This record gives sequence, C-alpha cells and structure tokens, in this order.
Amino acid sequence: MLRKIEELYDKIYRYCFYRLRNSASAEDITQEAFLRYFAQNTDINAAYIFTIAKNLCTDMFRRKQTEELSDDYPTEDFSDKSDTKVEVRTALENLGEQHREVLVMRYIADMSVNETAETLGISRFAVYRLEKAALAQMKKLLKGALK
Amino acid sequence: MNVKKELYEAFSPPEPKRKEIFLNALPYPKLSFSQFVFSQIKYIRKRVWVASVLIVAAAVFTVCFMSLKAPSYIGLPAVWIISSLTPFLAMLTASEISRSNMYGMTELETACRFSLPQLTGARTLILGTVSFAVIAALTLLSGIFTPVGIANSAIYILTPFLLVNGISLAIFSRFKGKESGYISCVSALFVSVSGILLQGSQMKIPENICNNFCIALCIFGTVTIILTMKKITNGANYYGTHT
Repeated sequence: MLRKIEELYDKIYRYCFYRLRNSASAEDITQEAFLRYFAQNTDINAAYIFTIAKNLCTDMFRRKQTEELSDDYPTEDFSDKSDTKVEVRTALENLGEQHREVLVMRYIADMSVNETAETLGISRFAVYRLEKAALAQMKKLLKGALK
Repeated sequence: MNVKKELYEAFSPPEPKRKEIFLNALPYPKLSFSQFVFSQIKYIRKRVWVASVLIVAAAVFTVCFMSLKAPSYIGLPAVWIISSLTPFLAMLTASEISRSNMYGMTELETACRFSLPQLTGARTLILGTVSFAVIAALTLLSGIFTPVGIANSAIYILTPFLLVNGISLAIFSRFKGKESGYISCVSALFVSVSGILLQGSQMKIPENICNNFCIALCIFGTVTIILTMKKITNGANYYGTHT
C-alpha cells in the first residue's frame, strides 16, 4: 500500500506543480489531499484523491487571483529550458481546456485512463477520444513551431 | 518527435522535499490479514467463478439427464463424466495461483505490505475454498444420486483434479508465458478424455485395483502440488532462474 501511495504522491505532486508552479504549495496541497482522504477512507481511490487535489488547486488559484501577489509567493518554472521543451509547453497552453486537462493528467501527472476518466467524470472512451484529438493538435502545433 | 515523452519531460517539477517525512508519518489505514485475503477475491479472473458454476451445473445436468433418459448408465459412467470435468477447474486454479509469479501484477503493487508467499497463500486459500466447494458438491451429487457411493465418488472425482492441479502447477512454475497455458490445457484435456475413454472401453478392471491406482495418482498429485507450492512460495529462486 505504501508503494502505491508513494506513486500517487508523485503523480499528484506533478499535477499540482503544473497547476500552481510552486513546489512548496504543490507539496502542501498534495499532503492536504492525502490527509483529507485518509480522514474518511480506508482503501485507496486514486481518482478521489486526485479530485480533492484538483479542487484544492482551484481554491488556491482563486485565492491567488483575489489576493495581491507578493514576494512571499515566488513562482518557479520547469527546470529544462531547451527550445523543444519551451515549444512543448507553449503548444500545451494553446490547446483547448478539455484537451489540455486530459494531456496534463495522462502524460504530465502520468495517470491511467481509468483514473483520468473517473477524475474528470467522463467515460474511458471519451478519454481516448480527447487524448487522440489533443495529441494530433499538439503535433500540428509543434510541427508549425519547430519548422 | 514523441509528444508523450516530451510532455512528461517538459513539465518535470523539482523533486519534492518533504515526501519521505510525510509518508512515514501518514496515518494511512493498515490492512488486516482477513481484509487482505478478501481484497484478493476481486483479482481472481471471472473465468474461474464461471467455470466453477458451469462444472456444477454440468454435473447436475448429467445426473438428471442420465437418471431420466439412461438409468442404466447412472452408475460409474456418470461419475466418470462428472470427474472428467474437474481437470479444467484444476487447470484454471493452477494457472490462477501461478499468475502472480508469472507477471508483475497490480495486486502485488497494492499489497506490498505482504510478501509474495503471503500473497500466493491468500490466493491459494480462496481458490482452494472454491475448488473444495465444487468438488464437495460433485462428490455429494454423485454419491447420493448414483449407486457408486460417496467414498468411491470422492476418489474418482479427486483423482483427475489433483493430478491436473499438480501437473499444471509444475508446468506453470517451469515455463513462462502462453506456452505454459497451452501445455497445461493439453494435460487437462488428456486426463479428462482418458478417464472417459477408459470408462467407455470394455476393459474390466477390478474395483480394488482401480481404486488403489486412483489413490496412488491422488498421492502423486498431492505431493506434486505441495512440492510445487513450496517452490512457488520460495519466489526468489523462481524469479532468479526464470526472469
């Protein structure tokens, strides 16, 4: 069980960092999601923990928008700044919200199709369909950008 | 360009700093052994449950059909037909027990608090209980509704089951992948068909010789099962030589 929790911790942390761009906040939210989940549950439901983390990220994001950003909340960036990586990040930001969310969950947070479907509240088929369309769009964007 | 790989790498965050401390202090609930055993039920493939139900249904059908349409065959032929069904249950049981050793599966991940021998033990306990229930049902059915008697029925029904279980476990512990499944299937088919053919042939084997031979085969099957299970639960050596 501990190994599964460890893997899940990494996945949620990756997701939270993508959303918040701050490692300390991402870790805080990851831990908060686990604590809230285990306060009421005994077995592991990855999608449930992801949903808690996702909602906590949204809350924090909203709070950040209403509060004035100060030096206390430094935003960090991803370590690799090579051209390709920058292009990939830009291409992802240019995708539609649904497509972006599926790619973030599937390939950045490394979630399974089942976990993604349960977290987003859609069917597995819908995940496959959105993922295929999003990847095709990413390839198109990257082809144009890397020419 | 592999977009999936690029996405993973492009968004790599810094290493989490407080992960170890948090996970060590996390009050996640620990499974009890009975909860662990029950948690394994959902990992047993549906085909095992379906096969168990079908075998009992086929045995009931055989007894009902023979008592109505062919009352003269309700004795030994009925018992042999019923016993010829058990090798397939044995084959499925053996393949299911060996599955954890053959592939790195999710239940190993989820049950990491428990060791491989414990995991195999839990699965064997579940499958053994199911098989025992099926064999007991078949024995009672044959013993009560045919003139063969419960003791003889038990011997005739257990022999192919134990034999194929032992052979299949030995095959699964030696060979990897689909080949082991095919070989095990052939052995189950061979034992099942030979039982029916032997009964169908006009060979007059005295009952005591037949019973002694079946008991010897039962002992052989049981010893093979015990030895192979020991080998499987000493998983380290198994992995060392076969992966």
